[in-house]
Amino acid sequence: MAAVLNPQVMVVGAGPAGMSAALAAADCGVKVLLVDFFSQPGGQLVKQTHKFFGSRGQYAGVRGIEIARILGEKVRSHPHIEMLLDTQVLGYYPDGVLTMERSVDGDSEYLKARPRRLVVCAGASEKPLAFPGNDLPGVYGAGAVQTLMNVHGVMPGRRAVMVGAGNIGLIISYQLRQAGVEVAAVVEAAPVIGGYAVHASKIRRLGIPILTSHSVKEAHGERELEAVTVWRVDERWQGIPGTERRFEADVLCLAVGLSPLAELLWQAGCRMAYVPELGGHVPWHDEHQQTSVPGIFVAGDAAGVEEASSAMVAGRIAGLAAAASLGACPRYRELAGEARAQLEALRAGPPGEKIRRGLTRLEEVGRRVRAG
Amino acid sequence: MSEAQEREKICQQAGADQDRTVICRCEDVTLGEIRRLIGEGVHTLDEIKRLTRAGMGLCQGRTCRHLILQEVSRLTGVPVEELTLPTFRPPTRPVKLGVIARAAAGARQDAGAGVPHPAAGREALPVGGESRG
Amino acid sequence: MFGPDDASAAGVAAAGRGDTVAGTVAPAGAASGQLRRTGLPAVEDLARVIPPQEVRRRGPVAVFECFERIPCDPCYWSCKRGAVKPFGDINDLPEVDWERCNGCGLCVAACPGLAIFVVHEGYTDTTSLIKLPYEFLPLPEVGQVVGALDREGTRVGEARVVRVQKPREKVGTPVVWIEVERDLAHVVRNIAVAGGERGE
Ligand code: SF4
Ligand code: SF4
Repeated sequence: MAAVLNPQVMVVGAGPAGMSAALAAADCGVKVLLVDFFSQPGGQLVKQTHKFFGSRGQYAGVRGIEIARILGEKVRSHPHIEMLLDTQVLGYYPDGVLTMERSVDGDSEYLKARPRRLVVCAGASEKPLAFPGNDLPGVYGAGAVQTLMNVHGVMPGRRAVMVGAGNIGLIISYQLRQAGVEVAAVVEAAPVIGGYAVHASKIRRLGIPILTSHSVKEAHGERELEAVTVWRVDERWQGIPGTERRFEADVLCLAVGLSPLAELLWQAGCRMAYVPELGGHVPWHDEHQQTSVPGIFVAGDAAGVEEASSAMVAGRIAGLAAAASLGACPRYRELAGEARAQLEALRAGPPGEKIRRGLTRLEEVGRRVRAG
Repeated sequence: MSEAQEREKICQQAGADQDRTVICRCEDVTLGEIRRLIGEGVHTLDEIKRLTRAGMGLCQGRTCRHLILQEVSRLTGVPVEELTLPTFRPPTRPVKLGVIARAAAGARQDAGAGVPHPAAGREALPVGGESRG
Repeated sequence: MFGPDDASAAGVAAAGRGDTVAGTVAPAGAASGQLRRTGLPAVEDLARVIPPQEVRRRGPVAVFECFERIPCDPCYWSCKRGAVKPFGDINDLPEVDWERCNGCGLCVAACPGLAIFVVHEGYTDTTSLIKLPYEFLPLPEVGQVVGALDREGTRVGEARVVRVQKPREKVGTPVVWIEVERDLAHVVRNIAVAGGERGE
């Protein structure tokens, strides 16, 4: 297999943003190539066993895994979408060619594509945490724990300590309990719980304590994790000696945030900005989800970490914009306008405050891009 | 103690606890190693990467990059946004040479007309790029 | 346990335990500081959502323990009686029209935050009925006596299972109807099922 694929639009990542982008573009009649490294579409959705927030348009009240199935079926049955699964995108080259490695029956093949438009919805990676003993077996990223339990049906251990009281930490604590794993405590370095109060209340009813202004001091164990010491932290996030508490645990689950996966965009020379509110280095993008490199669009966590409901809407805008830039979306202004209004509504409340601040910072970078 | 002195002390005191704190899992680089290097005046991510291999393993820096950025920022006083990241080059994941070679052997046979570079002949979006809708 | 005439007193009884800290008065529409710090609603949070006595006694009624503006509205769409007022902005707090709500519990099964409970205070002379969302296996059996837990997961008594409503589709949440000691109507918010995940 050596031919170069020539889709009109290529979407990298078949998560909530990528599938929405592919569907939006394909509905405009554009030929779309949708690529994902996993063996099934859905991205993070396939491990979300909880019901989603948002509104009807974003499948509110439906469990993530069910949304993955619904979108996956739409993508599979769409005549204009070709989906390549088990395919890892390896790089973007200056001539606009993307290289990929696709696993087939235990072997792999090397593929190339030169799309006219590129939409990157590669998602995010988990942020690590530095503390003594952080390489002991039993110390996991929260996403890994969720994959183990909800995709592979494997219990990660018997008793867990969760680090991070954002939505991910709270939801996975709940899912650990559903899987029969005891949760000794949720520790959160910030003075307040970052996730939705309803998620926090839900795990408090299970008897799980949430320790705010606390962080991990050390993980103990000879060959594997046996216990975790946490301590109170001051306003400068420094541990306070004398406040240590020790929990016996064989699982330490880190849910301390996500960071956009933007390697392809770096390689493509897209203008990047460091915006902590959006998860770290993020690609600058405009209201069409277009990056500083014309023809390259971005949506979902890769554009700045936020909720999956927003990712779906932003993905739709990116897909519409990619199609519109090929002259294939005559109703772009109207459709994108509707989607943008939805996105603004989703971000309008207090939980969206951080995103709004991040986007304002990103916009400042944009002004510099345009000025320079 | 001045801030600079405090930073120097952190580097010098990197000991057993920091040697048990892994920053780059793929290449097994610890916080102790990184602090000692910073203490010796190695202040760029690129240098740290070349001297320790941190960020050159399987995940290509997805895990350690943040931690190293934060550490360098904290111990040099330079804000994260002003630090230069190492260049991102393909492949983003290790790939066997044989896989590429096989594809290249096939490609020689059908070297044909490519499509134009995506940057060429791009139509503008129907909505003005400058004003926010 | 609490003055039945006073919704905020009910809240005191419900929230005033354990690591509860005296909450500061939050602006309308904002969750209390206590809730943000601990995940436990404060007195003033609960006072806003617990219906007046005559409503609580009349029959089953929904209590929305949803105190924070988040982008979410399935409760509105799920109610077939128009008892949840329309959302102007998707981030609005849900508001129930007590006159229309018959405590059917459709919203309990739909709410992604598992934040809605139906309460019938004085179900019998000595008991109250609570319908609560429950997403653990095994589901309890009708007639089974289970542990009654408060908002911190602490056992405060026993509950008898009256009914178990399984969702029609995979998306919904099972709703368990329990009968508890009358004064625990606004205290009990979870159950411990023997042989279930949450042994004591
Ligand atoms: S209990 Fe029934 S009637 Fe009352 S708000 Fe919920 S869905 Fe509507
Ligand atoms: S569905 Fe539940 S979480 Fe969502 S707004 Fe209604 S009560 Fe709150």
